[in-house]
Amino acid sequence: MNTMRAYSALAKREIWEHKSLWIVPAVIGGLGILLALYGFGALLLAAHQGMININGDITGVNSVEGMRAFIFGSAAFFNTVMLFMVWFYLMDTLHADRKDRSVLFWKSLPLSDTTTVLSKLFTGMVTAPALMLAAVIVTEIITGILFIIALSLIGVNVLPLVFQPGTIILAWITLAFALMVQSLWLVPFFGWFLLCSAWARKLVLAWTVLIPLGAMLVERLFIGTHYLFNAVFGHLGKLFTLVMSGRYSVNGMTIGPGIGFGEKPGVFAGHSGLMTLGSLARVFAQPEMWIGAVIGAVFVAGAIWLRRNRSEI
Amino acid sequence: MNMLIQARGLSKHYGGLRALDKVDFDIEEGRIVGLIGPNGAGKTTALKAILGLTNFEGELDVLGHDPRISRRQLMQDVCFIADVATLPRWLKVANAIEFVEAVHPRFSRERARHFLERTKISQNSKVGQLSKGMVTQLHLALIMAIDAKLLVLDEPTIGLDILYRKEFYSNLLNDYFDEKRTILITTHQVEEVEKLLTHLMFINNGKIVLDDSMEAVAEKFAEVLVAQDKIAAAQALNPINEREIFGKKLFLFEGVERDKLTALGEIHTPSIADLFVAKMRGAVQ
Repeated sequence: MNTMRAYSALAKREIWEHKSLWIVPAVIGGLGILLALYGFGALLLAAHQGMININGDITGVNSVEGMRAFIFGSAAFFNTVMLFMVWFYLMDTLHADRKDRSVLFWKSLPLSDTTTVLSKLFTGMVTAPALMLAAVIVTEIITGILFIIALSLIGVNVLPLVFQPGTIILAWITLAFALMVQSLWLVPFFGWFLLCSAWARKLVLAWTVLIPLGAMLVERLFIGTHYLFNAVFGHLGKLFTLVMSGRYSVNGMTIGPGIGFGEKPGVFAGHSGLMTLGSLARVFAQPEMWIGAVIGAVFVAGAIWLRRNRSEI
Repeated sequence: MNMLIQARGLSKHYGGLRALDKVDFDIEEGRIVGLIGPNGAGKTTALKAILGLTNFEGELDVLGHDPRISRRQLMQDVCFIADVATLPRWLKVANAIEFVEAVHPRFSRERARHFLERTKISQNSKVGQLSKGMVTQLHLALIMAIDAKLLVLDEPTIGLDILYRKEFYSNLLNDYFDEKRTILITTHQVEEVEKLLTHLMFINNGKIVLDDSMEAVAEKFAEVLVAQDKIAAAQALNPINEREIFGKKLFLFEGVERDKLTALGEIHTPSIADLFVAKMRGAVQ
């Protein structure tokens, strides 16, 4: 068997079944472009009717940080939707073929259950973000061009401001890296969803949420602590502070680029609060990243075991 | 002869229920074996054990593999259709072919296409758009395009109309089966596989109650239509079943010499269905 060919067929198989993996980013991109068209149209109309007067002076604008903010900012919405999409995908993926009994067909092929389950984890961790990144890049190029055209129509040349290939490409690479770090950071969650998908007979969504909430409640009522609550929501919260804005904590002190509210001006001066390749690389130094990865691996191993031994509903 | 499957002391319990109770059997290459039994007799459990879909106790060797351990390797040489219409509804015919070709080293796209050309199935259809009969045709085309050593069919035609059922078995026999292949079938529609089988296995309450070649079955079992005046003589030979038909009695004998039976009336080979009923009921009270 040509292994690469089999792996690529497995990856494609997931997109055939879960068309939302590419339709959702495409729809968001389409809506983003429509919104941009509406905004530029309104701007042109306002300028034409003299309601606003545009001063073409663009000197003094921090174009590099502006472009980065545009690129990361527009990606943020795609990403939020994608995370929910991946959640629903992972919950469904091992459950749907048990429900319609097609698991019996997939199991008649010479594929190990480990390969099958890992192909689904791969789809959540790599395929979904890659399709999203492609949609982000296309949307940003189109809205960027629309922005240049719209402003040129009212006599402002923003081309030198916007056309910064180096900055743009670096920002996209940073975004791609951020998505991979995000996937690794979320492995314990992804593993949990797969485990529930392989285990639950029905109502997978309820189980993914109710079991952890129940465990938190039991811990609170009978032990009086809230470690689990802190672990789960703390980990989730750090996705936005630590991964996406590049802040990290050493000895209880938050350092790194911050948005700057209420923080010591000396420490954060000069930073926009946006992630960089360096800030992302530092996430790997966090023990929490690796603890999460181990917990995720245990959940995935459980999902593989269930797929092997308890696949029928 | 090449032994494909060897089971020794094969057992499986579901809680207190014994689905398989220390079963021994062998299946050799080139056979078409019918595994027949009432619901809950252990047929499906036996097939699942062979396919590595369930755990079991005892020894089981399928093509040199323990199905519990080396499932992936086993599935290179074993194909199965478990129940009708297990292909997912969202799958496109062309994609199904593409996928199986990519993951199965013994799959031939040409053969699959050749089989599909005889049907009305279009490459662009999704499984969900096909009728149940067509889904089975598609599944069979995919399976027959794989050069496997063992094909396991678990109720492959249940719920299909008679045209599809006949066609299913005639395709299997004419286009697929040869002396290098082995087929293991379970079905309730015994009449349809009767002429296909080379070997017959009856299973009841987790035990094998009959395991013979069709020739041996024809020799061992005889059905005799006996007139009223010879009924007492027939009953003296311990028939395993008797029933009334047109004022005469039809007796089923196991292992009784032909000479003794010819005196009673005309001898026939019993149908599998009649044999099955007799064996499941046990001897006449």
